[in-house]
Amino acid sequence: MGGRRSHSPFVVEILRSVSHSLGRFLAIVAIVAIGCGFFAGLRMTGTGMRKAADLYYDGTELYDLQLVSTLGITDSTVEEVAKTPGITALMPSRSVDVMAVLGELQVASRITSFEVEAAKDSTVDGVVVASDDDGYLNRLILRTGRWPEAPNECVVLEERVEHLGPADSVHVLYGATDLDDVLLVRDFDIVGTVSSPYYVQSTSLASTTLGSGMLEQAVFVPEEAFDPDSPYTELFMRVGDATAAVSATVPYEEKVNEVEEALEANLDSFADERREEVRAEAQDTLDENRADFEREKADALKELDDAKAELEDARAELESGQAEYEDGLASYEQGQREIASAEEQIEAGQRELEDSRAQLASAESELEKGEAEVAANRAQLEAAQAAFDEGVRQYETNAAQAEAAISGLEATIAELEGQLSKMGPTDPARAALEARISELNGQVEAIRGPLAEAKAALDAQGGELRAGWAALNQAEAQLEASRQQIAAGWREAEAGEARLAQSRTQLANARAEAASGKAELDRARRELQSGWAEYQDGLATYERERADALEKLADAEKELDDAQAEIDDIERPDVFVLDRTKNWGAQSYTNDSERIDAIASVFPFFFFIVAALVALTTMTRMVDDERTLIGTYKALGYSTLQISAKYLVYAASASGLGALIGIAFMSQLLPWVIPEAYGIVYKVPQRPFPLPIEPGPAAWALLLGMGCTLIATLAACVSSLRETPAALMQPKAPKVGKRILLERIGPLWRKISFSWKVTLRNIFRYKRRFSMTVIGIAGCTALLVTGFGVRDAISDIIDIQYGELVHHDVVVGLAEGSTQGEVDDVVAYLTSTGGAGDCIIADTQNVVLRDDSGEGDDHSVQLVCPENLEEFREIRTLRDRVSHEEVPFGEDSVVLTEKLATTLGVKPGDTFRLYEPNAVGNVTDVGVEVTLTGVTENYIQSYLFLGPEAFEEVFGDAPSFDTIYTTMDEDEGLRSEVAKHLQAMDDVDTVVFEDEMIESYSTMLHSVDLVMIVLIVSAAALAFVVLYNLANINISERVREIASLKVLGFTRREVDAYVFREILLIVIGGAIVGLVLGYFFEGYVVVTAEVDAAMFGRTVHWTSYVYSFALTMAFCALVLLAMAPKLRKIDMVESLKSVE
Amino acid sequence: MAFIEFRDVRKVYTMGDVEVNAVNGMDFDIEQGELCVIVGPSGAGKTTVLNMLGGMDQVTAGTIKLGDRMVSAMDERELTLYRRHDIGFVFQFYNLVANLTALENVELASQICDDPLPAEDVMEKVGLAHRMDNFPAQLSGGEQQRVAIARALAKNPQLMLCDEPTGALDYKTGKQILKLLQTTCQTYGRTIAIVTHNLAFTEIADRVIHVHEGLAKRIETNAHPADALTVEW
Repeated sequence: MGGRRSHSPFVVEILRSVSHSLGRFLAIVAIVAIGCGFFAGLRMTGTGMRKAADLYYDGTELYDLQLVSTLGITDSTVEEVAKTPGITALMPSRSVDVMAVLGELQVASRITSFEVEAAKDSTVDGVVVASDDDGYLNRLILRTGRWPEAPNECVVLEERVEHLGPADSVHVLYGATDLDDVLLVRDFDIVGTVSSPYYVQSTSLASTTLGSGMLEQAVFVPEEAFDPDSPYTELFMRVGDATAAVSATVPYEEKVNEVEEALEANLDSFADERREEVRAEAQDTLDENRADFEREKADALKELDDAKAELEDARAELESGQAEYEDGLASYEQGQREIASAEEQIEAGQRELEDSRAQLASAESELEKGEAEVAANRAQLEAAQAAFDEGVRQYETNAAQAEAAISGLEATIAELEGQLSKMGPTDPARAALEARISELNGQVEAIRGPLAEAKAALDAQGGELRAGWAALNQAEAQLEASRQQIAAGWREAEAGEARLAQSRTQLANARAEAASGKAELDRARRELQSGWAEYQDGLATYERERADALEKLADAEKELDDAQAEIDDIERPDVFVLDRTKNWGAQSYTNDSERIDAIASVFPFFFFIVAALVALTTMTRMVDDERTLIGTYKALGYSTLQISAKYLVYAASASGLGALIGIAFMSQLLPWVIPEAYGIVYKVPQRPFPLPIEPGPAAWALLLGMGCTLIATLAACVSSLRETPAALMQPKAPKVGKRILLERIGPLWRKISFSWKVTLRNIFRYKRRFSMTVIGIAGCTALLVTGFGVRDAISDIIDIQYGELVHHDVVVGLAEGSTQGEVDDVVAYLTSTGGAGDCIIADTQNVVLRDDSGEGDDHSVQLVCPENLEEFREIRTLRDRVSHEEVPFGEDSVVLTEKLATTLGVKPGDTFRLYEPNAVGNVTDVGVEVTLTGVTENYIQSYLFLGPEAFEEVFGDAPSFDTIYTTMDEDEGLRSEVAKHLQAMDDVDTVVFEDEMIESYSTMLHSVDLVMIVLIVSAAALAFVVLYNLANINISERVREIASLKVLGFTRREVDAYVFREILLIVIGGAIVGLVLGYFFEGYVVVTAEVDAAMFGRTVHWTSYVYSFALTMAFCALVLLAMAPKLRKIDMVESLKSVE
Repeated sequence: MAFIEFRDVRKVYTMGDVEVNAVNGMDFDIEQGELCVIVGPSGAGKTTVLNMLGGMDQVTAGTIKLGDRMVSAMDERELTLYRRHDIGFVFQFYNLVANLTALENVELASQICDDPLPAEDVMEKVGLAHRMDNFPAQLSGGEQQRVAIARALAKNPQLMLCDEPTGALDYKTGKQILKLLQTTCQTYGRTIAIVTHNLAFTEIADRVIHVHEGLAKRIETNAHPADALTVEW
């Protein structure tokens, strides 16, 4: 340059050229400012976000490493770990995932212990929590209320209170694992709210196996709330060396990895140790139990044996009794037989006696008969004698009387004869007297005849009587002899009788004796019988009890054996060392910050291209303007280098200034605005202003900004500088007008007016300008499309998810294993009181998916298996995002939501692996291979839809439908009443109203507006710079032309049109290119910036294209309006000036 | 009454604190159909005269009349229309639109007038029928100036104003252009005012106005102007 004087003419010249062409100087400043600002700002944003997080993490002593074990951690492990070099602080803690009632809501929560005393003693300054206790990690910042004072007091996360609503208490319902011997307190009072660096993501804290799979709240409780005997669940560690490095950066990770590797080398021994510990503990208990068992078993067996012996004794006794009885019975029966024979004898004797007696009796009766006969004979004889005697006497009387009567009769006869003889033979009385005389004669005869007979008879009788008497006497003698004989027989019979009587007495005696023996025997038998019965009872009881006892013993033994097997099977616990990348919040924050980096790596280059083009056109114009001057300098002897230095210095100062302004401004704006937008999701506090300017990105921005400007400048002036001074003094040969393609279409071209022809030719004449403007404007439009598109993308999340895909308002999850009846009860309640629509039931559970290799990342997903596929379609539209074609969903279908399918890289027909996570959400099994059948559009969270058959195939058993989807009136009161009622039901696990989700995404939308404003402002800035530059160049270059036109009598409007039409056309072209570019750009930004929990909408609404186009046009109009006065100011006199 | 009347026209430019009297009470007339040469040294005010006469600049004081129209009283809009319909301008550096062909450059002017001459005819007239479709950059300086003249002529203006029309041209070409202007004046009866510092031009003029220090020092009329091709300089 021209010497070291402060006012070297050359320097003055440069300064003047700046002041004279302030417009173009500022254009370069502005475009470089935008480019560098965006580049540096965006680059600093990712870094800044990580630094803000690091400040927060370091300030709150967030763990660097975390040790978790499936069997918990004990003090001995803690001591072991502490020995690992590099670890500077340790904090063991206990935590457990529970389903709890907070206020009115039932939410999946994690209860974590913390050191209340350390927390109380800590002081908070911004994001720094100072504490004397080095072992107090993951320090909490108290936001409202106070620290817990008692074991039943707790603090909860502030930001989750904002989401869930205020609550006074936490009531623990049940845990993901058994809470017995772990959590001593089940009801906590919420006494304050806190922020925890462990949970920086406020929308989703972590995954859990409970509820919907998302942890909804973190509850921090005093250590006393946990059973001090329970093992720690995790051990947090700090790596002192890593503190200096920024979290999630390479140096940090190197430091942490060093320690992590050292720890990992010991993991096996920790695991073995822990297993031994747990095994020993369990073995001790089991051994004790086994000893108890053996003792009890021995007792029981002994008791049984005693009982058995007793029974045996009883049996022996019974058996001897029985034998005795049998003997008694035998001898009794012998006696009985003897008695019977004696009886027989007696009876025979008796019969004999009876016989002889009968004989005697018959003899006697014969005798008596004989006697009676004799007596009768005698009597007869006597009577006959008497009668004979009487007869004799009577005869004598009668004979006397008869003689008398005969004499009287003869006298009468004689008289009557005398009468008769008197009476003549004819007298009537004669016959009667004759009859009378005959009769009296007859009577005399009758008396005389018998008398004679009686005399004869008497004589016969007298003879008979004498014979009779003789026979009688003889018979009487015979009788006497028989009598003698009978009497002897009787005597003999009497003796036999006496003998029999004696025998009989003897028999009676024997019989009595036998009877008493029999009674005794019977008693003995009864006794024996009852004895046997008793014995049988006893035996049965014994057998039963024995069987029972043996079974119980066997059971107990089996239990013990099982326990032993369990102990033997106690596997080495899975012990993991987790760094911050495994922290849900920290990692997704890091991911998001890296997404910004990704955007930063693409986005600003675009500005640099535009900056280079702006510089190129501007400097070209400047060099062209100053041809004569350059020639003059050359003629004066300035070297090419010196002359070009002017332009380089000009460009350098413009771009340098622009870079500085851009960097200074954007390094404050972008690293603030973008985290602010993320602020809805992350609770990482913003750093205070002024934000530090990262030297790296700043230097790069400066280098790139100035570099591309200077290169463009060199390119612009190199050709002019090569020319000879003489040539430079000549006006530059005007660019040859060119026919453009359009002119080949003659008829069309002829119809175009000249001003349009000029316009069209001009457009294609200056390629640099054209490309600068097209690229710049395209960029502007693309930015706008991106801005609006990102907004669309986020509003689509809600609009499409809840407007077109999800048609239910509420999801009610029942406890696992709920019965059909319980489900029906809830359904009944929902439909009656809740006024709900159709209730669709499904089996839902949280599973983990990995890609086909099974080695990729874990992706938590909610599995939904509806009972009725047709009904399910009413509440959930399964469709292809682009074609809107229904995704087939049949009994054996496996349908995945789009984002996860993309992440896993699977298409229908591909396979992936499905795992059932354990209680703490870790995958421990080998999983199942599943073949995808369809991919469905979805924006919020990820779902795996399985048909019932597919479900069975995967899980091996039928789904249990315990989740209810339904629609419900929007009435707040009704909803809260229903929610309250449902949550009071034992079987109901979760009640989720989808509008809560809608609300949280709406908030997200507001924060995106901020980003959109930045994008619109940048787009506007880009458009302004480019258009200003273009217009400026176009005008200044054509001052003569314009002046000439004015001279030719073109009106103001015609002149404006002549110049601006061209710009307008380029802008329209650029804007159209921008719409296309924006389509891709938006797609890139949306996919890159997408948060894990959601898929952003993939379509830019047509209105957004319209807005973007319209806004670009508006920017253009603004620039043109601003430029119009400049056009007006062009003096017609310019047309008279010579060409420079 | 003359066709063009300049009456006590003054033009004062204010440059910062300095006032420059470019034209200081100029008076002259030009009759219809005349070829008038306004001649004077640099800084004499002849270009200011041209500007005011061409409706490109307004007077500070005085009146300018063209026919029955008071040019000096016109506002900007009226001046635009005045330039559009009444004036044809030929610049020293042709000022053709680089992106239009020769013919199109002519048409560019003629399309905005009410009663233009057919562009092709005019092009033929200026001897460029064969170069009508060439772009200015493909034409020589003389050819370009012919196009410029054609452009001015095609508007069928009341007055053609030429600012050093040969200033950028070589001697021979300059003469041909001068001849063209003279012919135009004679053939079309067009009133033409040529501003130049070249005194040689005065020979071909019907009227010569010598301008010096903002004043019309001397006005001459030639009863028999010389043929342009005979002029030497």
